[in-house]
Formats: sequence, C-alpha cells, structure tokens
Amino acid sequence: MNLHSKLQANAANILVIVVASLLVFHLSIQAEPYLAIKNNLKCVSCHVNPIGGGLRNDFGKKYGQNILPSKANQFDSATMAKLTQYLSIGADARFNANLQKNEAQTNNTSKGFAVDSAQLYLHFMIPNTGLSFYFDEQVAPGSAINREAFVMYNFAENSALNSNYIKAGKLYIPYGLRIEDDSAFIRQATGMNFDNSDSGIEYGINLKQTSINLYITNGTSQATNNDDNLLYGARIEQLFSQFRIGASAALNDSTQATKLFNIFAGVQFGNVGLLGEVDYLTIEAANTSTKQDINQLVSLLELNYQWRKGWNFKLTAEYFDPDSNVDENEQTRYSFISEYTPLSNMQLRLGLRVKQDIPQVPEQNYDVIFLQSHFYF
Amino acid sequence: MKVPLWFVVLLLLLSGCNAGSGEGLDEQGRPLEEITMPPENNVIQATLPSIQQHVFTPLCSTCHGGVNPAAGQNLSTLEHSIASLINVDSSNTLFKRVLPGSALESYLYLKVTGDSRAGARMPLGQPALDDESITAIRAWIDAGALLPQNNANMAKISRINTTIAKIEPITEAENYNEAFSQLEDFWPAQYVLTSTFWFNKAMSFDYLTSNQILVHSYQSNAAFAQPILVADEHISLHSINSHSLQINVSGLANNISKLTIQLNDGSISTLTSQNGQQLDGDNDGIEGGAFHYEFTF
Repeated sequence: MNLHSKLQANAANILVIVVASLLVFHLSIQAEPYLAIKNNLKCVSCHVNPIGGGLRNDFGKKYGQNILPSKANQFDSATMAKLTQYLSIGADARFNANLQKNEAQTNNTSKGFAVDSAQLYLHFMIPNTGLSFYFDEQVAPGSAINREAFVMYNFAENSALNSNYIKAGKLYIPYGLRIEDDSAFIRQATGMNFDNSDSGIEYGINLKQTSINLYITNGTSQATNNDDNLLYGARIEQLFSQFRIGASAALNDSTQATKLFNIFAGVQFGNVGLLGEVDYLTIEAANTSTKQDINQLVSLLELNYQWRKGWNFKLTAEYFDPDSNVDENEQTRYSFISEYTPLSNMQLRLGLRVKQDIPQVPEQNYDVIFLQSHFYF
Repeated sequence: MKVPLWFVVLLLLLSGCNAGSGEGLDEQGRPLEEITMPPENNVIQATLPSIQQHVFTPLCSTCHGGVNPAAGQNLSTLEHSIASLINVDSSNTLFKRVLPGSALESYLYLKVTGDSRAGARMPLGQPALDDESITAIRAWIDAGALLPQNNANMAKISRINTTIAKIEPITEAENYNEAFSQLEDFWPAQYVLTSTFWFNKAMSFDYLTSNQILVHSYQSNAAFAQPILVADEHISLHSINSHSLQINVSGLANNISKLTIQLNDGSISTLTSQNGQQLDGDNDGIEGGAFHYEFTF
C-alpha cells in the first residue's frame, strides 16, 4: 500500500470513529493530574503539549485504550491517529445532561442536554529537526475557536539543553494543577483554564524528576495586548517516589497589576490518590472604595479512589475567599463524581455538585447533577 | 505505607468550610459601609448600572473577573465592563462585544441568547438569563450602549453609521430615460451623505448649528486633491434623540472621492453632555479636542 492509499484508509477509519463517537453520550479526560500522580508521571508522558491537556501522544493513547477502560478495544488507536510518521491527530468531545437548581425565587432551574465542547487536535513534526506545530481547535458548540496554536522546538536529547523545549504562539499558561474542570475555583478564580489561553513564549526544562516552565505572554487572555505590559510567570514541579510537590507564580504588570502564587501537591496510597492546590492572588488597588489591594485565597483538595479497573470515584472540596479583608464572603463547592470508562475512548461521568455562596447571591447557590459522556481519541 | 481511607476522607471534608453568612455585605459581597451609590431598583432596567447589578456582577464576574478574567473580559465592576465591552473586538472577528446601537451585531447579546455564531451560551453551565435580563441587555445596546451620566468616563462618539443616497435630476419629460440621459451630460446626479453619530452619553444638541461643523470634500479627478469646504446650506442637522445626531450633507458631485466631517473644534464650538462634560473628540482621555471623521466614496 502506498503512502497516499494508507493516508486515505487511515483518514476514513478515523472519520468513522469520530462521527460515531459523537453520536453517543460521552465525557472525557482532557487533562487529569490524578492519573499522572497515580502513575508517578509528568504531563508530558501522556500529552504532546508538555504542560498537559489536548492531544495525547502514543503512550497517552495506549494508556487511554488499554489501561484506563474496563474493556479494551482491539484496534491500535495510537497507530490510527498517525496519519503519517510526522502527522498525528486527536479529538475530545463532551456531551452533557444537566439538572441544576439554584436558590433564586424565579428562573431557578435548568435542565437539558448540551454539547459541552468538541476539540480537534493536530500535531505536525518536521522530520529530524525537533520542530513541530501543534493546533487545538474547539469546533463545537457554535463557531470554531482556536485554543492553542504554537510552534515548538525540542532540543536534542543529548545536547546541552537535553530535552528542553521552547514554544511560541497561542498557548495554555503553565500554572498549578491542570485539572479538567474549568469551573473549579482554582481554575476559575485564577483564570488559568482551558478557555483562557494566551499568546506568548514558553521555555520548558525537563529534568528526570523535575519540570520547570518559564513564560512571557500578553496577559490579556485571548484578546490582543492592549498595553505595554506583559504576564511573566514560572511553574516548577518535583516528583518523588510516591508524591510530588510544585509551585507556580505569575505577575501581570498591567495598569491594575495582578500577582498569582500557588503551591500544589499530590500523593498516592495504593488505590487512593490525593491532590491539592492552594492559591494566593493579589489584585492591586482593586477595592474601588479604599483603593487597597484585594487578596484572594483559593484551595482545592481532591480524593480519587480507583474501585476497580475502569472505575474511579472522585471527591473534591473547594474553598474561595474573594477578599481576605472582608468577613463572611467565602464560597465553597463540593463534588462527588463517579467516572466509568467501559470501553476504550469513552468515559461516562455521573456527578453531583453543591456550590455555596453568600445568601445575597441566590443564583450562585446551586446544586447540579450531571451526566457526561466523553469521547477521547 | 498504609493510610486508612477514613483518614483521607476526613482530611478532605475538613479541608472545606461553610460559605460565608453574608452578614454585613451587599449583593456584590462587599461591606455595606463601602457602598456609595444608592441601591438600584429590584427590577432590571435597560441601563448599564442595572445590568451590572443584576447580571454582570452576580453571574458573569465569577469567571469574567479577578486576576485573570476569562477571555480578557472583566465584568466585575461598571468601569471594567465599560472598558471590556463597548467597541471591543470579540473572539469572532465579525463582531464587537458591544456595538452601540445594534444588539444583533453585538457578541454579548449573541452569547446570552445562545446564537450559534458565538459558541457556548452564557452564563456557562448555568441557567440561561431570564427574558427580562436579555430584553434589558438588548434595549441598552440598541439605545446606543449609553453610560451613566455621572460616570467618570469621557463623553465620546461610540459609533458612526453612514449611508449615501443618489439624487436623480428632475424632469417632466414623458420619456424619462431619454430625458435623463440628456440631462446627465450637463446636470450630473448629486449625492446626499447621511451620517449618524452615536454618543456614549446624553448630549446637548440644542445650540449646535450647521456652521459649527466643518465638512470638506475631495475631488477624485484632481492629481493632488485639495479640500473644498462644503457650504453651510448643504449641511443639515437632525437630533434623533439625546445621544444620536444625524448630519446630512447634500449637493455632493459624483467626482468626490472623500469627505471629512469635523466636530467639536474648540475654536468654533464644543459639544457637551447634558451634565456639562465636553466631548473628548480626540480620544485622549481629556475633555475637548476635535473629532475627525473621514468617509471614502
């Protein structure tokens, strides 16, 4: 079979799988630090993007096909995803069924089905150069939105800059634990989530048990930079035999300067994994009345228990203090989620969340039950 | 090392606390003593402060606020909302987040109504806004996305909409086409330009006259086109409402390539808001300064 025929055959197979999978319920593992902690691996072990999320590499695909699910399919998804030796693709698609009720007196209930998100990934490598192009496009719901588009250069393994990389373009910012849930306080309050990529440059240092990321970006999320100021930051993570610890810091020296700092950690005891993050955020002169800084405290603690192959139970407790100078304004959120991966490339999640805010904001006091299906490839 | 599961669960449960009681706070979670503005009406109005109070602060600012607002769009305070929304490009390059005067061309409105061109409906993962809120947002934008009169932001022109109409020569001949072709040789068609200027605040147009507005035309057939001042009698003004002004320029020949309109020239006359604030015509953040508009044919 020549290259052209092989390409066509692979593309046809992949298209069938993607379309078929989009027709059923699904929910996915976009980036799940608990899996990295459980296996004592770095994000780059499973993802093309060294800081995690998005397209999975060969190992990540094999893990999602063979190790994660209760029952593994026979096909080799890693091979299927490689259109050629240097061009690979991937996808994530999430479909949700939600029932939510808040404490407002009217319009307090919502229920229904929704395509939560669908992404397509593309990774193109220039042979024998270390140079590659990575593309992450959200194609649903609504019009397409680019989430990441960057060029990355990986230094040769035996060079002085062994396995380091540099990337430039639109990218996720390396910050804290890259959990899948963008609505978690640690991702929402910091704005460091999958919906908030930024344009800039990142340099990554990959040592055996250590990852270090340094970056400069616009600091304006997806918008064009509107001033002379930039966002500067760093993230470091150190792995040990059964646990890991890390820290991140970011400074956006804009008209209203913001500072972000966190520490995070993860530990695994048999089938039980525990991970946590604490963030301390400062927004300069943000108090419109006193012109004082506003300091915020955010935390997440997550427990994962693998009951049996293909089954994971997740319990999270979150805390958010939006202004440490103000009493009785704290918010909490608790979640219980059961994750079932019956087959390769498909995960189902059933979850219950309880969000609590001050009584004056009844819309932000709510309970939600959701069923998600996630197709991943 | 074995750690009992109950111990880990206990740690987990202890890690969270109860939400605040809200005692002594307003509905934005701020201490009551900080509040300097009178509370808004409980029913949402088609004004930015009301939309801020009922929608942006309690719902949107959860993500669009804080140290790193989602999509770089901060809706946590009135000032941030003004800076983040009005005439700011959206992630879909076809739309502004808020285009004063046109909700249907505003990404914000498309977002809260679930229009497929705007991606996921907002508020994300929460019940859709009630009809009253959506209606208020639409009405506010359609009315020109006005700022509160007492707001510290400068009075500015937020949008200009221009149309051109062709005025045919008048003839009483029965064979209209024949008469028209003959007339056109020595009496070419003329054009009327109509520009509507939207202001972000209610303005005082009462004493504005056509001779306080400088209109220049440029002829396309001239090698180095020199501006020609359009006479007053060809300029007419029409105040549509307190924050939009229509300027009609008639008698324009068909060889004009460009037209410029200058408002707020300090040496002639200045435009002021109804609160007496001068128009920031040159957009430098300081009251005053001429506003130049250029239309190319």
